[in-house]
Amino acid sequence: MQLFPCPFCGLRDEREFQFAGEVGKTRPNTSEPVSDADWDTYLNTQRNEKGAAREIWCHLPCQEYFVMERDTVSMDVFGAIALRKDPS
Amino acid sequence: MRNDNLSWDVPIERKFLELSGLTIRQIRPKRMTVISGPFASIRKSTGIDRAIGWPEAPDGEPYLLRLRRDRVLMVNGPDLADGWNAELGLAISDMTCGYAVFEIKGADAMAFLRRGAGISLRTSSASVNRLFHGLAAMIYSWNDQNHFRVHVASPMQDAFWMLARNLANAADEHVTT
Amino acid sequence: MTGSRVGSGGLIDRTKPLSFCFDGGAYSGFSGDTLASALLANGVRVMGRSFKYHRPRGVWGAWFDDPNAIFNIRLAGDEFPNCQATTTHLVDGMKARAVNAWPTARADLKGGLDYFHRWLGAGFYYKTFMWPDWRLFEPAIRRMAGLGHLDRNTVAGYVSDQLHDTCDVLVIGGGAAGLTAARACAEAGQEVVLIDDHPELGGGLYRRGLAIEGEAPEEWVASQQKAIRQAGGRVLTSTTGFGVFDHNLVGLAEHRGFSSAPRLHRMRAGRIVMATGALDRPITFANNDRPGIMSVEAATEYLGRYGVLVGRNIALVSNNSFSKPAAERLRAAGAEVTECDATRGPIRALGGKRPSCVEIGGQRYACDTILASGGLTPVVHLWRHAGGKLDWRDDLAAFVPGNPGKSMIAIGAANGSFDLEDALAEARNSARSGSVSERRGNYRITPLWPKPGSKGRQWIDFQHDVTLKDIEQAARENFVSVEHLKRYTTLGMASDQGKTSNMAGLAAMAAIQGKSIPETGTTTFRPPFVPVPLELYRGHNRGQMRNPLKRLPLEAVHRAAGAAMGEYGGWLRPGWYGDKSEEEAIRAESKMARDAAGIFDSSPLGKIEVMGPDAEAFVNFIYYNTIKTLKPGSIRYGFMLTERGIVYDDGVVSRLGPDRFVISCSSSHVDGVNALLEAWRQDGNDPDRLFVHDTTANWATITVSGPKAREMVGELGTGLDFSPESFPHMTFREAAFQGAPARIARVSFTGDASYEVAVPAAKAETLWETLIAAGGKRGAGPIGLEALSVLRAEKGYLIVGKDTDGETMPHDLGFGIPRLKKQTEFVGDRSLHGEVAKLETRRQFVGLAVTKPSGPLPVGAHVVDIREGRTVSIGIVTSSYDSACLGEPIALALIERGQARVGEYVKILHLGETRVAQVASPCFLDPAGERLNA
Repeated sequence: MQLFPCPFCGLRDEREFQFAGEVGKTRPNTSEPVSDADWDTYLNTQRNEKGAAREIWCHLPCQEYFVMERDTVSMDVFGAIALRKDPS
Repeated sequence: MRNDNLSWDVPIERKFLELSGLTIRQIRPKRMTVISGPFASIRKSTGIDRAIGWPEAPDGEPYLLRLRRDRVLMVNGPDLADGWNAELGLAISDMTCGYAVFEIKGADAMAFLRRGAGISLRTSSASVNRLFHGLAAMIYSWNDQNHFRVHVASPMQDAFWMLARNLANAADEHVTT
Repeated sequence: MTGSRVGSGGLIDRTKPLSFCFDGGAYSGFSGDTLASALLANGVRVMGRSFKYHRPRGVWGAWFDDPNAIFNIRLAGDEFPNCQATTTHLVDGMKARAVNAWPTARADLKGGLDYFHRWLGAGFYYKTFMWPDWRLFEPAIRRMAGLGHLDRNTVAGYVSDQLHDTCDVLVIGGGAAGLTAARACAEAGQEVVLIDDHPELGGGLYRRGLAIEGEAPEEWVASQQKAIRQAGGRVLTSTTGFGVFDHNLVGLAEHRGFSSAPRLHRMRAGRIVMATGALDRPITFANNDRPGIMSVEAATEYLGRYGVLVGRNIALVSNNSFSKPAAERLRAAGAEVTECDATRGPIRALGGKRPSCVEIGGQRYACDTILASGGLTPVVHLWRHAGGKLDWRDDLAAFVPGNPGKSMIAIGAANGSFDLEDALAEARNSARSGSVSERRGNYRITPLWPKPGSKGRQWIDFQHDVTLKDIEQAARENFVSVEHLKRYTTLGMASDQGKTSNMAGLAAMAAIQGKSIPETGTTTFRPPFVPVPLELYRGHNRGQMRNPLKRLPLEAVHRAAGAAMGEYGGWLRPGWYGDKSEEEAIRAESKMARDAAGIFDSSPLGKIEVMGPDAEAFVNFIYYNTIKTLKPGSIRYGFMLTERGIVYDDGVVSRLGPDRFVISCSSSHVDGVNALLEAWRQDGNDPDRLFVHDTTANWATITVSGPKAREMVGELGTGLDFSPESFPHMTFREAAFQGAPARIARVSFTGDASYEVAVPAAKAETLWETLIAAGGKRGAGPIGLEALSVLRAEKGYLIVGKDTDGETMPHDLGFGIPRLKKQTEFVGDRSLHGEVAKLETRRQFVGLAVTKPSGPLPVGAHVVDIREGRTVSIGIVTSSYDSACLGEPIALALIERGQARVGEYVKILHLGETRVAQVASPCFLDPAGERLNA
């Protein structure tokens, strides 16, 4: 079981986390026309990186979505970046 | 459909167990309130200065548990109006019936907790939320040694109790060399 | 002569004799013996039969490296299969039987199979036994395969305790190196845990039998343990480190007695010190699998730990310098030992169930026991689990740990430092990160590897009966990579996982290929290091804890009312009430609900509040339907779609205020909807202006539905005006019930006027009792989910996930307007205009009226059509009930072009039977909605 870093809660067991997608997927603006190809890319295309990857994960206990940088081959975790500022 | 009455234990009303090094019992706070929003505003509306994480213990009652970056659970605090407080930018929901609360006490208390999570007094965390043997739970310290509290969602309190009985017996008989 | 107990010595307790049986014979041993050591002491040699050829086998090793002696053991009425005799400690009363042998290992009926060995080589079942049909032979071959016998009775109390643990330094292996390292780290102030799989620490010190740092081995071991504990370290004995996992998590299996399940420690270590030692590896020679052929290390281990001398007239065949002290040790214990140079020429063992002599390069040496050592192989499995690399050392003729894995070091024999002084130096250094100076390195070895093409049957993998010829065959058939070699021959796939066979196997393949050993490489090492019971991973994940259901606040009340509880959407809920059969109860309850009223517990319905200045825009984006026009006090039905336009959930949204909505999604989807809302909230919205609170657990909701419902809720004392003019369908009111806040929503899932009363769960019982009392006067009472399912189907109300599937879009369900008219963005919007969404052949939601009154259609039955002579499926029956209220069966379905087919007769096919039904509107009852709005 890996240890993942939630930007708020700190290091926790991987079973508390859920993968939420690859970084960089931007939703096309659907109030403008969107081509089939662009919509398909948004829905289906994944980089599926071997090695260094940037991914969005969710820490289920606090439901914070954040960016995690890790290596998909060595399982090294390089760090986590919060997606939002601390509201306090 | 099947009649599964016999497949599920009848829920136990009085949840109390006492072993030589461990006591677990249900306690019922008078009020619990979930409040979301900026912490400065939370402080203002509740009058409570700090929200605790793990392994901190509250200063007394009422107290705030830090759940998320922008959410706390207030225990035994003032009666705040449910809903959206536009002035302070706070979302408030009464959750008095939403959580079941348990007290865990005794020399084997940490041994019990370690059977449900990779939790240690040396590793702190800003939030009291974690998974305990797969169940969502809030776990925090209380004011003396070997004394903790756990909150679980009310619909899962019977699952938690069944699990607690099993883990308590295991924790109680284990002697660390 | 065979094995015997020596007069003194060993760690066994000679004051505690124990009795046991093996293969029907009665024997005795001592506390501290393993089954293997006790049997050897009794002169027993043949302890098993090999997997394929049923050749007689004795023990090769003294610990986890033995592949041969595997027993089924009965103790106090419980039976445990496939116990390794060398690692199972003796308990009084054990009854052991060799697996794979009948009636005994000594006299096995299938021993004759060995005569057919020419037809039973590697992969034989793909070549022989193929004609006329391999299926003729398969059952017999399968019956002969496998080891051990599984007793289907469960063992009471066999539950693994599982816990999480942490430490600064985990030292794996409690031999000289491990003990020294643990002490050094503990005394340097680090939090240390030392583990060893034996009950007594000391590792190879007892084989060596010499003083260490001026103390006898047992005293020295005791001193180190005491010092470790005094410095705050912990020692776990009888504990195996069975695997190293990501981020320095080590799996420890702590043995707790024969009939108990081991305890699992999930140990997170800051640093791992691997002090796992090294094994003697076999020499590959003709007839090297005979009983009475053991490793040199095993012989000194049996002597040092158990006080057993394995033979009297020993031929010690070795290619390395470490065997000499072993020979001296054995002589001192009373054996005649002839040291033979293994490199002098081809080796052959002669004799049957015990050796009579060993022949080397033509010269014969008479003996009753052959001890062989082909060199030491460091135990590097855990190193490889952690991702560490291996280096090949020509001077040691072995793989040693190379580039470290994460935060892990290896010391002592595991690191190729076979000399005790080198091992201790490394161990002392492990507390700091310095490297060791010059190694003494007294170990000398002349590499001796299998010679392809040499004569005689030469075993590589003892347990799976893989010989040198099998490896040659594999090479001929081009299975030359070590991973293919392994799977083709099954070399290294037995319960010992190649501990004694991997090196010889890859060396043989290297020789055949003309490559070096490092070029050939090793197969992947995977956890567990030794077999562990599956129970180790299960623990308390069993029975009701396997998938615990959510429980209702009113469960006790339902049970007292005679409810049949069942799982519905992750909750334990009443299916029906009373003593009648399920069918009768459903008929009675649904009739009562339409004639008077039904009361049911709808507490699982989601109550997710969305609040904040951005709440309106947010909810409008999440929902397919337009929500922003919803007025406070009103309720709207809507769909949540996925980004692919598929219907994910249906539910109702209530607006409590300009900045406050309550989403009441379906009971089984609450957690999913909550997660979906939170994900969208944080992705692309300002989280400070938008909050999602799942308050479902705080509320209990009881629904009253039917002609008498209005009167009944009027008795709650809320002071509300329930007349249809004041309180129309799809609106709600906030009030108080017995001093607590109450929300009453006029929403219907039945087609009758229906009121959902939500109160804090603490008031649930009072609310229920009040409504039951109100109902009792009017012929109304509780109804369960089964009756509810029929009522909603009569009205054509769908259940997402039952009447919809992974392709259903809202316009398939008759809700096409937002797709064409909604102006603002929403989740899934673009997908509703893709190619697939526009297909004319899409399956649409319809009802089916059953023509022939022979009972309800089967759910899942296919609606079929004949096209070009072939029967094709054009739809599925999704819901089907016998409706008591309508007096006939009804069904709902998804059918291609369903809406255009209303009125048509279609064929329904199910398990070979054909029925006919007429496509209809899904709403069978009160299409005008008079009952609904009453």
